[in-house]
Amino acid sequence: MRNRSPFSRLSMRIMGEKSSALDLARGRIVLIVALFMMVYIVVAARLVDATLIQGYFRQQSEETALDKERGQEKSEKARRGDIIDRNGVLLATSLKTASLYADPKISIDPVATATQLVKIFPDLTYGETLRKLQGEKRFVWIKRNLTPDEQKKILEIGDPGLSFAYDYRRFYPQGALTSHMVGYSDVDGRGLAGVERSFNKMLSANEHEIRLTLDVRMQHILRREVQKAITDFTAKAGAAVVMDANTGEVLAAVSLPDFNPQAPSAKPNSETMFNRVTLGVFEMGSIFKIFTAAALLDKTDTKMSRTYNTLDPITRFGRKISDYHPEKHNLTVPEIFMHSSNIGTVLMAETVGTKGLRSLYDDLGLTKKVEFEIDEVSAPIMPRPLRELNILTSSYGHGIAVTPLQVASAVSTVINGGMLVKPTLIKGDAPPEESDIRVIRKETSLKMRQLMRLVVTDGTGGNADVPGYNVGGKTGTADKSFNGRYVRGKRISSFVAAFPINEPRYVVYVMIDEPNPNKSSYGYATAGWVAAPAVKRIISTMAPLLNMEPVKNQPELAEPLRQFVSVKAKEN
Amino acid sequence: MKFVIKLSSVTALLLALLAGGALFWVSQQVQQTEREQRQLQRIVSQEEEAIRVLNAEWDYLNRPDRLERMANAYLNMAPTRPDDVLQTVSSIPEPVQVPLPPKGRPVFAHASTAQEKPVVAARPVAPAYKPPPKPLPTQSDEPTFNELLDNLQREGRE
Repeated sequence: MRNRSPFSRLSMRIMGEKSSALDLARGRIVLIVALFMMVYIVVAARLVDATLIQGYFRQQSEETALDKERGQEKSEKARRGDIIDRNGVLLATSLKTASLYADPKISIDPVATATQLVKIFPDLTYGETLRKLQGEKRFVWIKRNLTPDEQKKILEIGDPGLSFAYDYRRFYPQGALTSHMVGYSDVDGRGLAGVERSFNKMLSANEHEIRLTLDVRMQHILRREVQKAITDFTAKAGAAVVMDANTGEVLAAVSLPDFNPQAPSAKPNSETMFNRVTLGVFEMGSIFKIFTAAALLDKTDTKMSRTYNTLDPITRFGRKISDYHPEKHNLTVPEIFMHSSNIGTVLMAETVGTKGLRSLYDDLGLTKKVEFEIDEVSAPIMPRPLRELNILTSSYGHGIAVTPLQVASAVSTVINGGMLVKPTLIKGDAPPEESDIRVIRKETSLKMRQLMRLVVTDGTGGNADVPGYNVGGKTGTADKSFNGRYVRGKRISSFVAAFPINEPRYVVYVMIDEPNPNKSSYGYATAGWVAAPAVKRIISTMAPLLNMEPVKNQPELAEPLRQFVSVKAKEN
Repeated sequence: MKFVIKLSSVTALLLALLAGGALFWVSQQVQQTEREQRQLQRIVSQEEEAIRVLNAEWDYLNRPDRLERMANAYLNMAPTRPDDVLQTVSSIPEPVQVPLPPKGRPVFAHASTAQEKPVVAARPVAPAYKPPPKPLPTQSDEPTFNELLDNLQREGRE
């Protein structure tokens, strides 16, 4: 038996005595060749596996894993979104700042480095810097918040012991100007107040900016004038809102005293941190007569000419209601409104009925917490249950305490043609929608505008008139109550105005807390002398900025009501 | 036995060498480009960050109250009052006719100077250098932008 080679080509026969030895050798060669081939096949297979099969798929999966990792890294270090005003001016932003620190252990030449550093930063002392660089600690701050230029110079020193640390810091370029609405955040980038708090999730999740309806220019005017009124009348505090009468956009909202969001007070309950516009609830005084008159004109067919007997104080449910400046004759509806007669207003409220009045309050959103984009919103304070007496006294602004924001939106609703206005602070991409919920009739709204104009032309709000912009408004002076008792002399003077009154675009509400009379106000500290002039200054500087053309020689809106008015009003 | 090299083998060898060379070259290029891309991305993000800082500084310097203070200090201007807005075109006053200066005389020379010292006036006179208004010295209680950033960092770390 001869071994047959598996390779037929190689199967040549050598005959002879040595043939068996050659056969043996060939068999071994074939075995070795086969072994080598097998190894190469394994190598080739492994190559295909590593490069094509595993390589390709693993690379893909690695890429996605890498992306994920990057994404995580990004979200951890994500920059908090900006907050901007309606014109794109930064209200809050996050900036990356570089700071210089040293690791003395790997510093090559502390003496030379210290010399160079002192050259770059004249405010560093050589000795102190050298001491830091020669210290034992592995980490020591040299200088914080470098400018890019300084950073470049430090890199040129080339000491490996010098390194930079980067992180984001929240920065409020406008300072205290928008402090209450924008709010503030802590060192870790958590919003603690205002928009920073209510939109915290959104701001920290992505880098998208939030555009507010505020306008820093309006905000500045409002703040300046409210501050001036507070200083002039040595008042305790103040608040003011400017609102778009048709869309409810808050153009400016100020609560004074305010705070610097860069360094907010340690005590969150301190006076400065209190947002009077949305958190403060106040009895609005005569401003509520707007709603009483609106209810009267909307829910009954009372004519403007109807007179009420306001000669003597009246008693309702055991409470005596009187006027500050009683008139010597019976008053018509416009007269009651412009003289701000409490007696007349209560009689008007009785004509409407407490149910009707209450339902208007509900429709205007005065009895429940207003929906607003920041968390710091108070619910109105009113007696529960709301008895008839409470509703009667609320007709002239006592008994129900609401926030300035609520008053501004309720007045907007009354004068803009009767459509419900919801206050808003966030400006969406789409143009703001005008409301389609009707609260009062269009005719009633026109009559209310006439009445409010009459207050300015002939009544208590004369100090608020700006020629050309046809301001209409209503004064409100309310004694403050402490523990259920009203204190004379401690009052809240407020004024709500709409302009131009013929076709209102903006509502301005100003409230001054505990003003004291001064010389310029002839000893008065009532709304007509405190808040109304502030409103006048606000509107006269604001309107030209809002591209509003002053209109002269326009027919007077209040003219039709003059026939019902006999005496010019005194100050209330 | 004659040693024969087939043409196909030579071609295959050359192709293999060529392919190897090309592969090496391409991979080097890719690495190089990736390095450049990373560098560019770093520069871009640095620039973006710089822009953000400048934007913030711009808005900080353009605070309405600061502008108002500066306008009061340096400009003879006041906010527009409603009375300042003219109602019709006809209420704009007629332009005043100003006679043009005679030829050959520098526009900027003062008329009286020219009469008294004609030699001086004949020289072209450059408009007086008006130094640009210096930035308003920040009030003592008002931090500069950098100080503000400084404070930020200090609060964060200490």
